Amino acid sequence: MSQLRPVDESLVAMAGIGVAQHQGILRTLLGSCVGVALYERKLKLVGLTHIVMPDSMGRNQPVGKYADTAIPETIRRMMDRAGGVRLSLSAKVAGGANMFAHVSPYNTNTIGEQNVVAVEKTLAALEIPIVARHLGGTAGRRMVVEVDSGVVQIHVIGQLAISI
Amino acid sequence: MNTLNEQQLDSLASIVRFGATDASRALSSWLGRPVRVSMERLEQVSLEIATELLGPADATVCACCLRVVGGMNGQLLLGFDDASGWMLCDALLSRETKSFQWGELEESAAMETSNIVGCAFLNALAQIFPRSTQAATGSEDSAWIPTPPVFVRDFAAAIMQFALIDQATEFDTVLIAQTQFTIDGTPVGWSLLLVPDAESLDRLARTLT
Repeated sequence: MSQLRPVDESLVAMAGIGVAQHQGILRTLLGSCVGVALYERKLKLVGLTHIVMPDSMGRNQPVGKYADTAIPETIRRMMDRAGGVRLSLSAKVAGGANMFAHVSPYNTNTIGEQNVVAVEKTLAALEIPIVARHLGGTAGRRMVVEVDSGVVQIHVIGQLAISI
Repeated sequence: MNTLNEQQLDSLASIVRFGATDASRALSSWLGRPVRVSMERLEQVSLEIATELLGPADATVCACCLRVVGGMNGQLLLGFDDASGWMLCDALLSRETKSFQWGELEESAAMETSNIVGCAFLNALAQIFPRSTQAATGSEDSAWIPTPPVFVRDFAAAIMQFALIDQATEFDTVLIAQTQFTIDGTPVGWSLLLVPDAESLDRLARTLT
């Protein structure tokens, strides 16, 4: 009887960055934070970052916390993994919810919304197209990235999972 | 890094214990059974650790969230798993059959409980803090006013991101006060979390010096 090989699965924590190649799964949990999955199709290379805040304002640590530092650092780590070759990347982004809209001190332009704007701006500056989005709303998300295909599954409690 | 040293943390722990005692009294009266609320931890932890204080990141948990404004700003969360929440509802509603889903009545029972525990806890803390806070900040605003609670059932990590965000704007570690509950001497899976925002943390540091 053959044995199934366990899937290599890693959780990317708040302000964390994960990189994997060829196989396995990267996942992260998102409320107001934004997850950015970068995919290099030919190399089957994925970078997933969990962005907490929109702007580092010159701070460089922790590098995974801010949109303007996390995305370049994720690309740098992907290039390291790829041996320095030029990458052709696309992005899928999810998160940016406002889960407690009733009690949020930010009536307009929530942290989640600011994170989304900052991510889009940073990706545009790097000329990385966003090919799928699952953003906003009032519910948390589990973002699961299949490394070999680049498919991203979004899980919301009480709803069927969807692929983007 | 945040700004509280060991001595300041010890002082704050004494104050939180005082608040937990008042919360115990209020909850015992509300449930009609002996309840003990005790301080489990007061520490500065990384964002990664803090996101798992209500359970593993993927776990489905419930939380009633009150935003605190006034002399101190921040988030107060009563978190619990489904079973612990339903146990509370059954006790409050004197049900003989166990609850197994969240409806309007169950959510209302949970929110009212969080209101009672949260207000007792905050009132006790506000009794100790106001004079020293005013002295440290020059502020006349000493009341600690909670907003009405909001019920949410979601991934543990997603709920905690909301609670942590006000500190995470300024700091890379977060100060968390966490309490645990026992009813009739039996531990239950509820957790009360107080997370002051960045500005209030700065006030605390000056007050506790």
